Amino acid sequence: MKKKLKDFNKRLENLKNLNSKIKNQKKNKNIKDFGVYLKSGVELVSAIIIALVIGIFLDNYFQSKPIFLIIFLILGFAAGIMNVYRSVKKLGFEVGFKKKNDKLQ
Amino acid sequence: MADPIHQFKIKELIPLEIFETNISYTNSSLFMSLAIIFITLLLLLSIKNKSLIPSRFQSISEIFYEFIANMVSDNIGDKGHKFFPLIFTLFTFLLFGNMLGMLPYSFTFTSHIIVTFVLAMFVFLLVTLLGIFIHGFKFFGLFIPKGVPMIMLPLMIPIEIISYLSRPISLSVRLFANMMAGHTMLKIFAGFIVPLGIFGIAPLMVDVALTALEVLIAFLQAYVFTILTCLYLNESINLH
Repeated sequence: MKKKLKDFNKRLENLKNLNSKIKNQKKNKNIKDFGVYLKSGVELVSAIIIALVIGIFLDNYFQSKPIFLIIFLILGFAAGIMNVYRSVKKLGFEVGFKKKNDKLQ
Repeated sequence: MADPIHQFKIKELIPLEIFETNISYTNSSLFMSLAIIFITLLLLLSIKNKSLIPSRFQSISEIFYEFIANMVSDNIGDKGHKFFPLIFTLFTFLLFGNMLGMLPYSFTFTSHIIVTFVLAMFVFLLVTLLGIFIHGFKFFGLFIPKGVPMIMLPLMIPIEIISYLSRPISLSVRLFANMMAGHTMLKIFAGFIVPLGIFGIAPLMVDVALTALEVLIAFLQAYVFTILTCLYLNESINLH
Protein backbone atom coordinates (compact mmCIF):
# COMPACT_ATOMS: atom_id res chain seq x y z
CA MET A 1 0.00 0.00 0.00
CA LYS A 2 2.75 2.44 1.00
CA LYS A 3 4.74 1.54 -2.05
CA LYS A 4 1.80 2.28 -4.26
CA LEU A 5 1.26 5.63 -2.55
CA LYS A 6 4.89 6.60 -3.10
CA ASP A 7 4.64 5.57 -6.71
CA PHE A 8 1.51 7.66 -7.10
CA ASN A 9 3.19 10.71 -5.58
CA LYS A 10 6.09 10.34 -7.94
CA ARG A 11 3.83 10.11 -10.94
CA LEU A 12 1.86 13.15 -9.75
CA GLU A 13 5.08 15.14 -9.38
CA ASN A 14 6.17 14.16 -12.87
CA LEU A 15 2.87 15.16 -14.37
CA LYS A 16 2.94 18.51 -12.56
CA ASN A 17 6.41 19.22 -13.90
CA LEU A 18 5.33 18.30 -17.40
CA ASN A 19 2.30 20.55 -17.13
CA SER A 20 4.30 23.59 -16.07
CA LYS A 21 6.83 22.93 -18.82
CA ILE A 22 4.10 22.86 -21.46
CA LYS A 23 2.61 26.05 -20.04
CA ASN A 24 5.97 27.82 -20.22
CA GLN A 25 6.48 26.69 -23.79
CA LYS A 26 3.06 27.98 -24.75
CA LYS A 27 3.76 31.36 -23.17
CA ASN A 28 6.97 31.81 -25.15
CA LYS A 29 5.27 30.71 -28.33
CA ASN A 30 2.50 33.26 -27.89
CA ILE A 31 4.93 36.17 -27.79
CA LYS A 32 6.77 34.95 -30.86
CA ASP A 33 3.55 34.36 -32.75
CA PHE A 34 2.33 37.90 -32.18
CA GLY A 35 3.94 39.10 -35.38
CA VAL A 36 2.50 36.22 -37.37
CA TYR A 37 -1.06 36.92 -36.28
CA LEU A 38 -0.58 40.60 -36.91
CA LYS A 39 0.21 40.08 -40.55
CA SER A 40 -2.11 37.26 -41.61
CA GLY A 41 -5.09 39.54 -42.27
CA VAL A 42 -3.21 41.70 -44.73
CA GLU A 43 -1.84 38.63 -46.52
CA LEU A 44 -5.35 37.53 -47.45
CA VAL A 45 -6.48 40.93 -48.70
CA SER A 46 -3.35 41.81 -50.69
CA ALA A 47 -3.54 38.69 -52.86
CA ILE A 48 -7.17 39.46 -53.69
CA ILE A 49 -6.33 43.09 -54.58
CA ILE A 50 -3.55 42.02 -56.94
CA ALA A 51 -5.79 39.41 -58.58
CA LEU A 52 -8.51 42.03 -58.99
CA VAL A 53 -6.10 44.44 -60.69
CA ILE A 54 -4.78 41.76 -63.04
CA GLY A 55 -8.32 40.64 -63.89
CA ILE A 56 -9.56 44.14 -64.69
CA PHE A 57 -6.44 44.88 -66.74
CA LEU A 58 -6.78 41.70 -68.83
CA ASP A 59 -10.50 42.33 -69.36
CA ASN A 60 -9.78 45.81 -70.66
CA TYR A 61 -7.07 44.46 -72.93
CA PHE A 62 -9.07 41.60 -74.48
CA GLN A 63 -12.49 43.32 -74.31
CA SER A 64 -13.94 40.31 -72.48
CA LYS A 65 -15.63 42.02 -69.60
CA PRO A 66 -16.32 39.65 -66.74
CA ILE A 67 -14.41 36.47 -67.65
CA PHE A 68 -10.84 37.25 -66.56
CA LEU A 69 -12.06 39.15 -63.53
CA ILE A 70 -13.98 36.10 -62.30
CA ILE A 71 -11.12 33.69 -63.01
CA PHE A 72 -8.52 35.87 -61.32
CA LEU A 73 -10.70 36.61 -58.32
CA ILE A 74 -11.04 32.90 -57.63
CA LEU A 75 -7.28 32.46 -58.09
CA GLY A 76 -6.74 35.47 -55.81
CA PHE A 77 -8.81 33.94 -53.02
CA ALA A 78 -6.81 30.73 -53.38
CA ALA A 79 -3.53 32.66 -53.27
CA GLY A 80 -4.69 34.62 -50.23
CA ILE A 81 -5.64 31.48 -48.32
CA MET A 82 -2.29 30.01 -49.34
CA ASN A 83 -0.47 33.07 -47.96
CA VAL A 84 -2.29 32.85 -44.64
CA TYR A 85 -1.76 29.09 -44.41
CA ARG A 86 1.95 29.55 -45.04
CA SER A 87 2.40 32.31 -42.49
CA VAL A 88 0.46 30.42 -39.81
CA LYS A 89 2.20 27.11 -40.50
CA LYS A 90 5.58 28.95 -40.47
CA LEU A 91 6.48 27.64 -43.89
CA GLY A 92 8.21 30.93 -44.50
CA PHE A 93 7.92 32.14 -48.03
CA GLU A 94 8.66 28.97 -49.88
CA VAL A 95 6.30 28.11 -52.65
CA GLY A 96 3.82 25.31 -52.10
CA PHE A 97 2.28 24.04 -48.93
CA LYS A 98 4.86 21.63 -47.58
CA LYS A 99 8.29 22.07 -46.09
CA LYS A 100 11.21 21.40 -48.38
CA ASN A 101 12.14 18.08 -46.80
CA ASP A 102 8.63 16.79 -46.20
CA LYS A 103 7.59 13.99 -48.48
CA LEU A 104 4.19 14.13 -50.06
CA GLN A 105 2.02 11.49 -48.46
CA MET B 1 -10.52 70.47 -33.64
CA ALA B 2 -11.31 66.83 -32.94
CA ASP B 3 -11.04 65.77 -36.56
CA PRO B 4 -9.04 62.52 -36.36
CA ILE B 5 -7.91 62.59 -40.00
CA HIS B 6 -6.56 66.13 -39.86
CA GLN B 7 -3.23 64.98 -38.45
CA PHE B 8 -2.38 63.18 -41.70
CA LYS B 9 -2.73 66.28 -43.85
CA ILE B 10 0.24 67.10 -46.05
CA LYS B 11 1.26 70.75 -45.77
CA GLU B 12 3.55 72.41 -48.25
CA LEU B 13 6.24 74.16 -46.28
CA ILE B 14 8.33 75.34 -49.24
CA PRO B 15 6.21 75.32 -52.43
CA LEU B 16 8.26 74.22 -55.40
CA GLU B 17 7.25 73.26 -58.92
CA ILE B 18 9.48 71.99 -61.71
CA PHE B 19 8.10 71.04 -65.16
CA GLU B 20 4.53 71.16 -63.83
CA THR B 21 5.42 68.59 -61.19
CA ASN B 22 4.83 69.53 -57.60
CA ILE B 23 7.99 68.71 -55.65
CA SER B 24 7.34 70.96 -52.67
CA TYR B 25 9.12 70.43 -49.40
CA THR B 26 6.24 69.19 -47.24
CA ASN B 27 5.88 68.34 -43.57
CA SER B 28 6.29 64.71 -44.62
CA SER B 29 9.67 65.51 -46.18
CA LEU B 30 10.59 67.53 -43.10
CA PHE B 31 10.06 64.55 -40.83
CA MET B 32 11.93 62.24 -43.21
CA SER B 33 14.85 64.67 -43.09
CA LEU B 34 14.55 64.85 -39.31
CA ALA B 35 14.64 61.06 -39.07
CA ILE B 36 17.81 60.94 -41.17
CA ILE B 37 19.40 63.80 -39.20
CA PHE B 38 18.64 62.08 -35.90
CA ILE B 39 20.03 58.76 -37.10
CA THR B 40 23.19 60.41 -38.39
CA LEU B 41 23.63 62.40 -35.18
CA LEU B 42 23.13 59.31 -33.05
CA LEU B 43 25.67 57.31 -34.99
CA LEU B 44 28.18 60.17 -35.22
CA LEU B 45 27.94 60.94 -31.52
CA SER B 46 28.41 57.29 -30.68
CA ILE B 47 31.71 56.95 -32.55
CA LYS B 48 33.09 60.24 -31.32
CA ASN B 49 34.69 58.77 -28.21
CA LYS B 50 35.24 55.15 -29.00
CA SER B 51 35.98 53.12 -25.91
CA LEU B 52 35.98 49.53 -24.79
CA ILE B 53 33.45 50.35 -22.11
CA PRO B 54 30.75 52.00 -24.19
CA SER B 55 29.18 55.32 -23.34
CA ARG B 56 25.39 55.66 -23.47
CA PHE B 57 25.24 56.63 -27.12
CA GLN B 58 27.78 54.02 -28.07
CA SER B 59 25.76 51.27 -26.40
CA ILE B 60 22.63 52.37 -28.25
CA SER B 61 24.29 52.11 -31.62
CA GLU B 62 26.00 48.87 -30.62
CA ILE B 63 22.60 47.43 -29.76
CA PHE B 64 21.27 48.57 -33.13
CA TYR B 65 24.24 47.08 -34.92
CA GLU B 66 24.05 43.74 -33.15
CA PHE B 67 20.30 43.51 -33.60
CA ILE B 68 20.49 44.02 -37.35
CA ALA B 69 23.67 41.95 -37.78
CA ASN B 70 22.00 39.02 -36.01
CA MET B 71 18.87 39.44 -38.08
CA VAL B 72 20.85 39.42 -41.31
CA SER B 73 23.04 36.44 -40.45
CA ASP B 74 20.14 34.43 -39.02
CA ASN B 75 17.87 34.99 -41.97
CA ILE B 76 20.13 35.31 -44.99
CA GLY B 77 23.38 33.66 -43.98
CA ASP B 78 26.94 34.47 -44.99
CA LYS B 79 26.00 35.88 -48.36
CA GLY B 80 23.79 38.44 -46.69
CA HIS B 81 26.55 40.61 -45.23
CA LYS B 82 26.59 42.67 -48.41
CA PHE B 83 23.06 43.75 -47.65
CA PHE B 84 23.71 44.82 -44.09
CA PRO B 85 23.84 48.58 -44.92
CA LEU B 86 20.54 48.34 -46.80
CA ILE B 87 18.75 46.50 -43.98
CA PHE B 88 20.24 48.78 -41.34
CA THR B 89 19.14 51.91 -43.21
CA LEU B 90 15.67 50.54 -43.80
CA PHE B 91 15.17 49.55 -40.17
CA THR B 92 16.48 52.75 -38.61
CA PHE B 93 14.60 54.94 -41.08
CA LEU B 94 11.29 53.19 -40.39
CA LEU B 95 11.90 52.99 -36.65
CA PHE B 96 12.74 56.68 -36.35
CA GLY B 97 9.82 57.59 -38.61
CA ASN B 98 7.40 55.61 -36.48
CA MET B 99 8.85 56.84 -33.20
CA LEU B 100 9.01 60.51 -34.26
CA GLY B 101 5.35 60.15 -35.13
CA MET B 102 4.64 59.29 -31.49
CA LEU B 103 5.71 62.76 -30.34
CA PRO B 104 2.91 65.32 -29.94
CA TYR B 105 2.49 67.78 -32.86
CA SER B 106 4.67 65.63 -35.07
CA PHE B 107 3.85 63.99 -38.36
CA THR B 108 4.12 60.26 -39.10
CA PHE B 109 5.35 59.83 -42.64
CA THR B 110 4.83 56.06 -42.50
CA SER B 111 1.08 56.68 -42.19
CA HIS B 112 0.93 57.55 -45.89
CA ILE B 113 0.63 54.56 -48.18
CA ILE B 114 2.68 56.17 -50.94
CA VAL B 115 5.74 56.29 -48.66
CA THR B 116 5.47 52.68 -47.53
CA PHE B 117 4.52 51.50 -51.01
CA VAL B 118 7.61 53.06 -52.57
CA LEU B 119 9.79 51.39 -49.94
CA ALA B 120 8.04 48.05 -50.47
CA MET B 121 8.23 48.35 -54.26
CA PHE B 122 11.94 49.12 -53.99
CA VAL B 123 12.47 45.98 -51.92
CA PHE B 124 10.32 43.93 -54.30
CA LEU B 125 12.17 45.09 -57.42
CA LEU B 126 15.54 44.61 -55.75
CA VAL B 127 14.65 41.07 -54.71
CA THR B 128 13.26 40.12 -58.12
CA LEU B 129 16.12 41.62 -60.13
CA LEU B 130 18.69 40.17 -57.76
CA GLY B 131 17.13 36.71 -58.11
CA ILE B 132 17.16 36.92 -61.90
CA PHE B 133 20.70 38.33 -61.89
CA ILE B 134 22.08 35.56 -59.66
CA HIS B 135 20.10 32.54 -60.82
CA GLY B 136 19.08 33.50 -64.33
CA PHE B 137 16.14 31.63 -65.76
CA LYS B 138 16.20 29.14 -62.88
CA PHE B 139 14.74 31.86 -60.64
CA PHE B 140 11.33 31.28 -62.19
CA GLY B 141 11.42 27.77 -60.74
CA LEU B 142 10.26 29.64 -57.65
CA PHE B 143 6.75 29.49 -59.00
CA ILE B 144 6.65 25.71 -59.32
CA PRO B 145 5.62 24.19 -55.98
CA LYS B 146 7.37 21.07 -54.79
CA GLY B 147 5.49 17.79 -54.79
CA VAL B 148 2.56 18.96 -56.84
CA PRO B 149 1.31 16.62 -59.58
CA MET B 150 1.87 17.81 -63.16
CA ILE B 151 -1.86 18.07 -63.82
CA MET B 152 -2.26 20.66 -61.06
CA LEU B 153 0.52 22.94 -62.32
CA PRO B 154 -1.63 25.11 -64.64
CA LEU B 155 -3.68 26.00 -61.56
CA MET B 156 -0.86 26.28 -59.05
CA ILE B 157 1.50 28.49 -61.08
CA PRO B 158 -0.96 31.42 -61.41
CA ILE B 159 -1.72 31.13 -57.68
CA GLU B 160 1.97 31.26 -56.86
CA ILE B 161 2.51 34.22 -59.18
CA ILE B 162 -0.37 36.13 -57.60
CA SER B 163 0.97 35.24 -54.18
CA TYR B 164 4.40 36.55 -55.20
CA LEU B 165 3.02 39.76 -56.68
CA SER B 166 0.95 40.44 -53.57
CA ARG B 167 4.11 40.88 -51.48
CA PRO B 168 4.69 44.61 -52.01
CA ILE B 169 1.00 45.26 -51.30
CA SER B 170 0.95 43.29 -48.07
CA LEU B 171 4.30 44.74 -47.02
CA SER B 172 3.21 48.34 -47.54
CA VAL B 173 -0.41 48.06 -46.41
CA ARG B 174 0.60 46.38 -43.14
CA LEU B 175 2.87 49.22 -42.08
CA PHE B 176 0.65 52.03 -43.34
CA ALA B 177 -2.57 50.59 -41.90
CA ASN B 178 -1.07 49.94 -38.49
CA MET B 179 0.36 53.41 -38.18
CA MET B 180 -2.70 55.19 -39.50
CA ALA B 181 -5.21 53.13 -37.50
CA GLY B 182 -3.25 53.62 -34.29
CA HIS B 183 -2.93 57.38 -34.66
CA THR B 184 -6.59 57.78 -35.66
CA MET B 185 -7.67 55.76 -32.63
CA LEU B 186 -5.51 57.85 -30.31
CA LYS B 187 -7.04 61.03 -31.68
CA ILE B 188 -10.62 59.75 -31.44
CA PHE B 189 -10.21 58.83 -27.78
CA ALA B 190 -8.43 62.12 -27.14
CA GLY B 191 -11.41 63.93 -28.65
CA PHE B 192 -13.67 62.51 -25.90
CA ILE B 193 -11.57 63.65 -22.96
CA VAL B 194 -12.56 67.31 -22.66
CA PRO B 195 -16.28 67.10 -23.64
CA LEU B 196 -16.94 64.37 -21.07
CA GLY B 197 -15.83 66.56 -18.17
CA ILE B 198 -15.06 64.54 -15.06
CA PHE B 199 -15.84 61.27 -16.86
CA GLY B 200 -13.12 62.15 -19.33
CA ILE B 201 -10.78 60.23 -17.05
CA ALA B 202 -11.94 57.01 -18.76
CA PRO B 203 -10.87 57.93 -22.32
CA LEU B 204 -7.73 59.50 -20.86
CA MET B 205 -6.80 56.18 -19.30
CA VAL B 206 -7.52 54.42 -22.59
CA ASP B 207 -5.28 56.93 -24.36
CA VAL B 208 -2.42 56.36 -21.94
CA ALA B 209 -2.67 52.62 -22.49
CA LEU B 210 -2.96 53.07 -26.26
CA THR B 211 0.15 55.25 -26.34
CA ALA B 212 2.13 52.41 -24.80
CA LEU B 213 0.64 50.01 -27.30
CA GLU B 214 1.47 52.38 -30.15
CA VAL B 215 5.12 52.54 -29.12
CA LEU B 216 5.19 48.75 -29.22
CA ILE B 217 3.48 48.72 -32.63
CA ALA B 218 5.86 51.37 -33.96
CA PHE B 219 8.81 49.16 -33.11
CA LEU B 220 7.12 45.93 -34.15
CA GLN B 221 6.08 47.19 -37.58
CA ALA B 222 9.56 48.48 -38.38
CA TYR B 223 10.87 45.09 -37.26
CA VAL B 224 8.33 43.14 -39.34
CA PHE B 225 9.09 45.20 -42.44
CA THR B 226 12.82 44.58 -42.11
CA ILE B 227 12.57 40.91 -41.24
CA LEU B 228 10.31 40.29 -44.23
CA THR B 229 12.84 42.11 -46.42
CA CYS B 230 15.49 39.75 -45.03
CA LEU B 231 13.33 36.71 -45.77
CA TYR B 232 12.62 37.84 -49.33
CA LEU B 233 16.33 38.54 -49.89
CA ASN B 234 17.17 35.13 -48.49
CA GLU B 235 14.80 33.50 -50.94
CA SER B 236 16.30 35.17 -53.99
CA ILE B 237 19.92 34.71 -52.85
CA ASN B 238 19.70 31.11 -51.65
CA LEU B 239 17.15 29.74 -54.07
CA HIS B 240 15.87 26.38 -52.82
